[in-house]
Amino acid sequence: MMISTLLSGWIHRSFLAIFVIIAVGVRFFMHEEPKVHLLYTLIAFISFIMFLMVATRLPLLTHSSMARLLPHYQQKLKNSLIIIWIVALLPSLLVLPDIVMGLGFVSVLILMAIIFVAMIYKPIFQVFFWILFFAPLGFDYFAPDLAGKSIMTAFAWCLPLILVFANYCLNKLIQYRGNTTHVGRLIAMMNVSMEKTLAVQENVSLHERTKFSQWWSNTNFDYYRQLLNKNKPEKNPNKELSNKQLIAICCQGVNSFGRSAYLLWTCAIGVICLLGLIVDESYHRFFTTLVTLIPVMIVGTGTIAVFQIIQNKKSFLARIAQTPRFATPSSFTNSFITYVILNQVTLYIFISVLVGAMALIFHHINLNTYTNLLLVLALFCLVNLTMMFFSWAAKQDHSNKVVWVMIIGLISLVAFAMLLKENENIELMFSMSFIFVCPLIIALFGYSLSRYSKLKVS
Amino acid sequence: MSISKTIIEINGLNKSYKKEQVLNELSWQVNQGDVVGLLGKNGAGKSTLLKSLLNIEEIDSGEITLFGEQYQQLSAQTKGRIGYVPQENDEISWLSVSDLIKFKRQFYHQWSDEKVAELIERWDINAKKTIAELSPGQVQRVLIILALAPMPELIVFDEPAAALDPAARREFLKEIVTLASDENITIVFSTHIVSDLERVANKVAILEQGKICYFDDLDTTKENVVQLTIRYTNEVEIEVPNVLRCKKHQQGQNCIVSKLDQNWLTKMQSQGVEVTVTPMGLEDIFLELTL
Repeated sequence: MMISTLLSGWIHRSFLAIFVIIAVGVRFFMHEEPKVHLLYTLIAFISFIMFLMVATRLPLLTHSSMARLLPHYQQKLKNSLIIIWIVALLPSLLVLPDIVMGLGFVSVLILMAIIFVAMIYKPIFQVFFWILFFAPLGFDYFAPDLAGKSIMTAFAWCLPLILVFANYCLNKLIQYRGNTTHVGRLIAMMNVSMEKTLAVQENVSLHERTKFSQWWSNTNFDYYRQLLNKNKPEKNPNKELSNKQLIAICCQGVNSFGRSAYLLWTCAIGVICLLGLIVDESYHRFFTTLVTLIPVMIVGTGTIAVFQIIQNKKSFLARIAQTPRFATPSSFTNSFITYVILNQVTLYIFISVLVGAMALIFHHINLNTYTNLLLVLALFCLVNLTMMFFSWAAKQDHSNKVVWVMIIGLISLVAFAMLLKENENIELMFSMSFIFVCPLIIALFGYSLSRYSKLKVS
Repeated sequence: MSISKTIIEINGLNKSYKKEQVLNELSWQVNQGDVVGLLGKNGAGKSTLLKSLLNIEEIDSGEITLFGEQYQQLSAQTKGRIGYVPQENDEISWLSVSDLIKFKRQFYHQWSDEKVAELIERWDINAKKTIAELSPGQVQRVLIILALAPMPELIVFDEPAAALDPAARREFLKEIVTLASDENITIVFSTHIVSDLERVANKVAILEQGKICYFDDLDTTKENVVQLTIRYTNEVEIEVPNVLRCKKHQQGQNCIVSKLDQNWLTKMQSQGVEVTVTPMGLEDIFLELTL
């Protein structure tokens, strides 16, 4: 029961299992030099997802009323956590080729798990997370001569000490009561529940969020509030809001990628580009992580969040479609489709411009790679839109599966973008596979639109 | 005698979620001026039925007409004649009450600002507060105001009084009675609070196993529906006229009938069968029919 609560849902577990299988596959069937790096990346990624998932769900068990009532609850919780820990650390020991490196990696992963749990209960510990995140960069910058192997060897020797520390932390954790308000807000924020569903953060109301989150959402909402108040249909009936504007108001949620998001990301990229212009070109490689992460984060918040918000408002939108404003069923469907497509196209154009600006400053990709990336982004946008419309047209709720496919798609996009960067001479536009895939995706997109329109209108 | 117009007509409605059949070949008819209380256990499918008939939820099969028009092809005019109050608030929570009213009025050709102002004042709602800042009871009142503002001829309430405190519930029920009597509005509301239904409805419908298992005038129901306790010595089952539900046990039968047939009763008594007639309250009828 405890383990299944912490590792919620078969989609999560399958997702992790797939990556473990890939890691095993890479270990035994790939015989090239870069495989060790790939193995480390895969195992770090699996552990990252797993520890984050467990850490976010842990307050459900530590702060549950059962914790006070049931006998031996704490011991059972500790045993469950140890089992999860052992299972999570096994791939590092089994898959990594060098035992010393494996043990060192296990030490790092144990520390990562402790930091994740700590920052969930006390936000101040987020500092350690960022230290761990940027540690490789720091080593590279401040101690470029220090070999990664010697660092991992040091961690391997520290393993007994780290295990004692982990046991101490575990004993503290199972008894921890802490700040119930913060934990309550956290449970609400993460929207973790006993149900095996993916987090839909839209369910958490604005006033339960952090001040920053409230400000972020309100700046977007203010635009629509102003739009609504500028318009006085009782005085001037011709100055009504358009159908698309009304649907846009319906589709705004606390996680919407609104004007403030566009502005903030533009400023952030501006600052990064400015730094890139100031510092010597030899330091540009330190920006690679950020330059890769930013478009991924924008796609994550701009596409997946929009899908979830609209999915959550399906019933409300269905009611709106039944109002006299939408005299014919097709008038609502057309306005809705236009809104979603315009929203996503704007987002992807924005990402393309950002990637272009960063490419111009950091010279990490050439024009050919940039063109390839644009083509891949355009296809990715179409694939996401196709999945969205298929999901909204379906009678059953497939939103969890769609979100996971989107996340896997996003990871694949990053991997594919890396491949394109490595092979700068590929001209995707003239490659046979692209020429084959492109019309297929366009046809599927067209079919999803027609299916959505047909089902909603009929 | 005037013949009342049919407002809602449902024939052979089927709706399922995954493998569970929620509505099963359901047929129903609601006429103009009816105030129908729809009773059903939790999970009986009351909300599904109400959402399906308003095309908020897709159905598997069946025919629904509202004001004589096919439910998926309603004209703008007919759409304006329907109001709906959902069970759960899914309105835009970041808008203030006044902004939400401004937003909603853009969807309707007809909108009564006077009615909105009157109800906001009467129900003491702070129009400057956002929906998220209101208590569940106040949100429910706002939803009711939004449903009444376009001056609909049919209002569908899905468990309207569930979130209201007793005073607000009484006020709301009074509003329903006024609407029904003064403006001849057809009202369909789902509830599991039998006393609410008795206070306002003139018809009662009971939803059980995906079908409307009982639908009649409230007064007729209270007057006519009785429980018969039949005792006999030989174990031959007795056929009871107008039977709604019958349970057989060792000493005889317990039956609920929609109307007691006096001739049948006399006949039974003359044959020496002991029949006890017990009048039933609405709550007893609901419990007996849905157990």
